Order: sequence, then structure tokens, then C-alpha cells
Amino acid sequence: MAVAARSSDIPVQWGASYAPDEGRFQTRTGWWHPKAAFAADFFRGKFARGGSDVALDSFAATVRSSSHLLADATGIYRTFAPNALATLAGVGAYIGGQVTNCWGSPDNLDDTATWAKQNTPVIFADGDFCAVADDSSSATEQLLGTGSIAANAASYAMWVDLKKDSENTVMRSVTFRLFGGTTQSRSCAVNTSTGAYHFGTGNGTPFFYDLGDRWRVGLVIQNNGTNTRGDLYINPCFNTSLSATAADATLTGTASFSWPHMIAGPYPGPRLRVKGTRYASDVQATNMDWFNAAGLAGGGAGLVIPNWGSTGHGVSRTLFELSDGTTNNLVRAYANASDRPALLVVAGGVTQTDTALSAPIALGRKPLIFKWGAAGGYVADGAGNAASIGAITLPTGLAALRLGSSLAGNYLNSVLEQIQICRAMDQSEAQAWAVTA
Amino acid sequence: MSAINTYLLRGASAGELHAALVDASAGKGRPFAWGLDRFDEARVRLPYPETAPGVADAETGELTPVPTGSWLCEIRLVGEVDADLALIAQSLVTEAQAASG
Repeated sequence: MAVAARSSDIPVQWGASYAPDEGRFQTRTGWWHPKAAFAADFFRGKFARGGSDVALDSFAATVRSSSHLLADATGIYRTFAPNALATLAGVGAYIGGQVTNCWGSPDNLDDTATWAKQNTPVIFADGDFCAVADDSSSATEQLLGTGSIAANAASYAMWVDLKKDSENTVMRSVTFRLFGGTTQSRSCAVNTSTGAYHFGTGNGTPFFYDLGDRWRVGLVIQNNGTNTRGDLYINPCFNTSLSATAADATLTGTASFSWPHMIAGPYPGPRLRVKGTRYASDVQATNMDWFNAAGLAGGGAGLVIPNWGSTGHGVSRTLFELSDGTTNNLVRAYANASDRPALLVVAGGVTQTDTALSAPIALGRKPLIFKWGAAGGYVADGAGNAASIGAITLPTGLAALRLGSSLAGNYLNSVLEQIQICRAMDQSEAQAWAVTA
Repeated sequence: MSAINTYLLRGASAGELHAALVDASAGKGRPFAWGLDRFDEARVRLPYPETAPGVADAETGELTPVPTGSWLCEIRLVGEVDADLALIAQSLVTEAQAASG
């Protein structure tokens, strides 16, 4: 099963970022690569086309019928209106597919339509969190949230945030459960003061992150095909031992929880604002005059910097796609279902090449280069890995450029920091860019 | 700020909803659905099984949603209305741009 590597909406920070004109091998005719005809630096909020800076609104159009949350570089969530690209300086643009939270009211655990109180815990607001109080020394008080799922083999990411506190010796506990058929579950006890945690035995692949003011605990799990419910138990006072297997009913106290999510797919993503659906982001270049003006019908190169927030999705993830509006003629740069950067070229309905690097993608900002032309091309990364492409027939009528998705969907589901579509360049020149990008 | 119109469709299966949206897409520049099973994920919430509200168990408090056997999908249009969808929709909800998503 695919494994989520980390929370996918917090930018990975350990890679140094340079402006495109800061590379040692670049000229300073503009911030973009000298051979670029189309350049977007979402990380810095700069956009250029045909040698001139342009504003984002006239550069790319986004269709998405819902708002979108994206965390800035400090972890604070910003809201983007429908049909507005979720992009932030210091982060980049998040381009993802459709996501639905199976649990209702993640911002209000006092909503009994989703959250059933067992032994009457007291719920009250605590900023971005909901505090859950166990005020009885004779019973275990907890919450149970439930959402419907289909009885098939779909994977889900389930998670909840726990507020950090101090000098607490009572462990909090959450249990993720698929229920209704042959039950699958896994529990985790957390010391919210120290961040010590313990997952019990069970199903799925757990994850645990430190996100500043909170701990995020979660599970990626594949339904065994029988279960029809996804459940979350929240127990604010579990035990004084991390490895205990049962709650101590005599304990009392309060812990704060935030934004439980259960989403279809084998990876966590940006959180949703309320119960419901965050629709997919379709991002397309608004103008393609630059393409033929730069002679790119005869081949070109794409310089791309994704910031991979997670890997192991098990499906392909598009970086960019040039097409004639159909799948008969296209150039698609993507990470394939095995996480290998790849270039697909289709001309006249015939696949000319589908070449992948042997080295897989890794977390963080990882420059990639894709070149296509009648005489061949290559796929390369910034670590010196490359795969050559032989002579091909080029597609015709390329008149649309999609960023972070393809005609078939295959959304990036990660952050795109930079993309430049350039005139063809030698592999050595491209890799020099990648080293300093 | 544009209003958002949400059309709710109900069908016997996901395939039936797909077929209805293919029909409603005829002659439009951007289709709601196409091919064998493709939906416009930027505007159409993918079909999902309809469930009745859960009823809490008296002893455990557990909620158990009850499937109705029908499928639902929602088409959400920003600043647009669609007469073809209005003809086949179970309901139409119009709202100002809201904090959904």
C-alpha cells in the first residue's frame, strides 16, 4: 500500500531556494532562464511570458468551485476564494485534486450530528481547537465521530491535531477505525507535553508530525472491502502510561483537538475548512502566443521545481501538460505511479516515448528537467540522474498548457514552486540550472 | 463577488449520474462529464452513496449511517446558472461565496 510520508501542505523547508537569476550560470536579462518563453515562480510571486513580466491573473486561470486553505511558511492557514489559485510567496502553488472530508464539523466537536458523546464529556471552544473535558472519575468520557464510506478497497488518510500543553502527565488517545464489516483499527496514545507517542498494534500505516503548536497524529489505511464507516475515537484522559492498552476511568482532565479529517486517498493534504468537498484546481495558461513565437512547436524543455510534500501515492502526478486539447497530441511531464519523474509524448494518438528516471522523487524541492525534440530528449534531475530519449515524431497543434494536472486528471497534489517552458537546451546546461535552482 | 449555484443530482448509480451529466454537457465548451467515467473534478463533486442521518445508539452513543441505495453528486458553478442542470436537479441552492472547502 502506498505510504504517506508527511503532511503534504506544509512546505518542506530544508532545501535552499534561489531566484532563477541567482544561479551561477545564468545571465541577468531577467529573473527567468534566458531561454524561457513562459516562466512562473510561484515561490516569489513572479510571472513572465514572452520576455515580459505579467500579473498572475493574466498569466494563468484557475477553475475550482470551492475555496481552498493553504498554510504559509509559518504554518498559518490562508483562505483562497473559488477560482483563485492557492499560491503564497515563500511556499508556492498547491495544485490538487478533489478531496472530501468524511467527518462532519471538524471545527466543532460539539456537533452531535457527527460527534457522539460517550459518558458526557464537556466540549468547549479553544481557539483553533475544541477542548474535550473528562470531568468524571468514575467513567471514561470520550467522543466518537463517524462518516460513511463505501465497502470497497479504497485507501483513506485519517488524522487529527492535538494541542501542545505543558507539564501534563495524562496521556491522550485517539483510535482510528474502519467499521461495519471486518473491523480495522489502530490507536495512538500521546503525551501532549513531550510529544512522546505510542501506536498500538493494528492496521494501516501511522504517521506523527510536530506542527508547531500541535501534534498531528494519523493513519493511512486501506479498507478491506467490508467496512462502511470510518470512525474516530477521541479520549482526552487515557492513561498515565503511553503503552497502556485500556483507559483508566479514574482520570480527569482536558485536552484540545482540532480538525479531524478522513479523506479518500493514501496521503494527507491541505485541511478542509468545514465538512464537505474541496474541488480540484484546474490551472491553465491563459495565453499561448509565446509558444509558437518561441519556436516551441519544434521541441522545447521544461524546468520544473516541485516541492514534494508526500510520496507513494500510487498514481501518476502531473507537473505540466502541453496538448492540442485532446489526448492524441501531448507532452506531459509527471511523476509516474512508481514515483519516477517521466516524460510522455503522444503524437497523432501514438505514444512516442514514455521515459522515466530510475531515481524516484524525494520529499522537498527537487528541480527536474524535461526536454523533447524530433532528435530526442531527456529527463533529468538536479542530482545528476538522467534518462535519454531517442528520435520521436513530435505532436502537432499544441495550444494548451495545464499546470499540475492533465486532461485525464492526475493532479500534482503537492506544491509547485517554479515552472519554465524554454527553448531546447543541452542536458549539461539544464543540469547546471538544476544544481543552482 | 459571484454567487455559487449548487445543483444536487440523485441517481440509481454513479454510472447513471455520469450519463446524465454527459447529456447535460452537450454543446458546452467545458463538459461536466465525458468519456467512460470522467467528471470535471473542479466543478463536480464525484458521485457518492446517499445515506440517511445516523441514529445514536442509546448505550454507546455510536452513530450508524444508513445507506438509501441512491447515489448523489453535486455540480457547483461559480457565477453561472445552467438550465440543463436545473431540469434534472433534485435541488438548487444559491449562496454567496462561502467558506466551503
